[in-house]
Amino acid sequence: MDLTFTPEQQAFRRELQDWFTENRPQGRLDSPYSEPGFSQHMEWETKLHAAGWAAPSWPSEAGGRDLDPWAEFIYDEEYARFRLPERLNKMGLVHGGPTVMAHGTEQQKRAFLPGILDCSDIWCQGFSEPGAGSDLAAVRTTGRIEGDTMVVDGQKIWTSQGVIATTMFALVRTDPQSRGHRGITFVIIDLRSPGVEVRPLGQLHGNPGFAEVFFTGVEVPVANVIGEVGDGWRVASTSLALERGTSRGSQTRMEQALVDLARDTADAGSDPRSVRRLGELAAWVSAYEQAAYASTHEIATGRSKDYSSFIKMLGTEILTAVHEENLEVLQAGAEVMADHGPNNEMFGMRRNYWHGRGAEIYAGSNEIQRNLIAERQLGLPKEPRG
Amino acid sequence: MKIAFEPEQHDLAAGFDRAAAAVASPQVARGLWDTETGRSADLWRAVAEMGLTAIVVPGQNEGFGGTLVDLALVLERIGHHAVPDALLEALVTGPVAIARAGSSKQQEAWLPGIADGSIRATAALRGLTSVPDAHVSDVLVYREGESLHLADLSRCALTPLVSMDPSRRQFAVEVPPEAAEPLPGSAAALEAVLAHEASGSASVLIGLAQRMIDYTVDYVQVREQFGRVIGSFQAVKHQLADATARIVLARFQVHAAAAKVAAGAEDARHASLAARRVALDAEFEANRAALQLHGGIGFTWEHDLQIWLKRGKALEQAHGNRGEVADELGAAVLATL
Repeated sequence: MDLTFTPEQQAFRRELQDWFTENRPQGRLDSPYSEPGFSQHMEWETKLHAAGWAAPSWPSEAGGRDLDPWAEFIYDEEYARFRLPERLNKMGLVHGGPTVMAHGTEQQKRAFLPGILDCSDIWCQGFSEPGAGSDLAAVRTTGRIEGDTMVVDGQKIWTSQGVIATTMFALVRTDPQSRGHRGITFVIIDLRSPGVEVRPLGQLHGNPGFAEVFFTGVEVPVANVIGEVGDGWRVASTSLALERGTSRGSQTRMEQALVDLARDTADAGSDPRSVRRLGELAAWVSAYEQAAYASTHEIATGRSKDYSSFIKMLGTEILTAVHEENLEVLQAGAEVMADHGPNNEMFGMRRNYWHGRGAEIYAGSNEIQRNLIAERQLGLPKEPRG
Repeated sequence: MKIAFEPEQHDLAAGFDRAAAAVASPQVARGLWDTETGRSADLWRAVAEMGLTAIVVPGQNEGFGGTLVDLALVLERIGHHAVPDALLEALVTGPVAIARAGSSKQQEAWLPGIADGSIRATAALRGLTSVPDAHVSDVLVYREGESLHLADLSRCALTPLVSMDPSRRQFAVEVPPEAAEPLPGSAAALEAVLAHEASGSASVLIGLAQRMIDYTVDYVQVREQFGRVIGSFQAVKHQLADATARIVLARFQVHAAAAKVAAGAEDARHASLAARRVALDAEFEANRAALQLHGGIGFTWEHDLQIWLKRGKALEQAHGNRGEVADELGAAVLATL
């Protein structure tokens, strides 16, 4: 048991810190969903890409730096610690791209991956539908295969980054007779195709970016199917595990939220109730950080203990608890707090609070995670279906 | 970064499991409830023969010179088996305090005997009003204010108390002034000794919590109600998932704290408090869910679940309760601003 980073890892951390210090955007960026904001974000993404920092853990043939899982972990920590802008193409970088790497052909990798890295394509995930939230086996968007073309009809909803995305990785039902998770296909759809309509959808914290996406007779090359036609469930499970499995610097953001809470607690006079609650939350934030380490250790040693549901469920709930306590400590001030963070970040507590509540819903709601833990980790029987 | 125990550390825990099946089974525990000492000579002999008494004793005092990490998995198994003995105090807190804060004369007097099992230590870092196993121990380490002291228990007056857990033997101890010896290095060592107690007790709690959930997961797969096993009901599953998630995350913190305490890391005290608090929460939830999901059968005297339920409730208070630990950690966080 040795919980210290190696000298090489520490040197890598310093190299990153130096680069971020020198190159970080000055001042606050506007929202990427506004025109000036989008160019500001693109400028930052271009700088990252030019220096090889766009996706350093990706293989070098895909434009990355072949970083090992611990180096990637350090990168994510430092990125969060510097409070750098949220990645414009995070759905492509974290979920879509790695799924193509895992299941795509060489040709598909060459076709799709470079556009993610330089942000010439911005990806979104098309899993959710009005009738299928956490129940992805209920997708109804259809893909009718006609020769080399798949004709897509249907609707996706709650699509993050949908407003700026050019590319969607989606689940569609290719076998109309099928039910449940059979007969579903994972396909990449160019949202600039005729028949695609993207309608912005407001989010409850007021930040734009959400969309509903309608498909009417949209023609997609069958060559865009990742894995086999009808095998989309297996392909999507890679993407879902990526979405809920890794902490991606979330432990650092949680620690920052705790430090913000501690400051507000001190400013409010450190009454015994608040100090006790701070201690309780500090304990769980620390445990979450250790879970992030342990999960990275599993990945780095090539073992396969699956902590993804634990990390997703408790991580989101601990973060919400920290935010809730911060509102409590701010008292009436919580209602009128600023939109931006104390360091002039784009996102302040108000957005982060509601975003955290959203995190308990997305990537498989926490109720679904509880079922997964009970069934997969504890071996309890599935609930009979009516 | 190496987040893993050594094979020898796993082997030691597995060896303890085998021994515990014979000397610390629920049947043994029940048999001891009505005996005068409540303690088993066989159990203590097994502990000493495995060398557990020598692990944290330094090499120059005939110990193994090991650390809390060497004992972390064993402490978890001690909780798992709800061993009827105050082993945290005997194997960790007492010897560590004497080794870190004692004079060389005190160390020579007590530590070799502790290492070979002929002398038993106990500890009371939170007052002399409830000291575990004082009746079978030879030496007591206790805290007064910010300093640690040692006393030969044969010179102290003991008043037996009745514990909620019939396997716990607690005593009010009166140390006559002439029997009290200060541990001269206590100012420097106090924080580390407290960290050992918090971190070690967290390991025991995790073992208790996991066992209660293991028991309950087994039970809900055989108990049928409304025509199917109750483990298929979402209301049951979610309670077990909640408790399990807490145990899994808490265990990561507990292991990290043991490593930090062993390495004397700067944040060892902080990590050990966090470990105790999350382990307490995990045990609290496991305790609640285990009895609730067992239902009436879990409430019967004949069912063994009570052994873990009561040990858990006792140990929730014994080494700093949820509120105390959180108060201390919260103050520590504010001090870092």
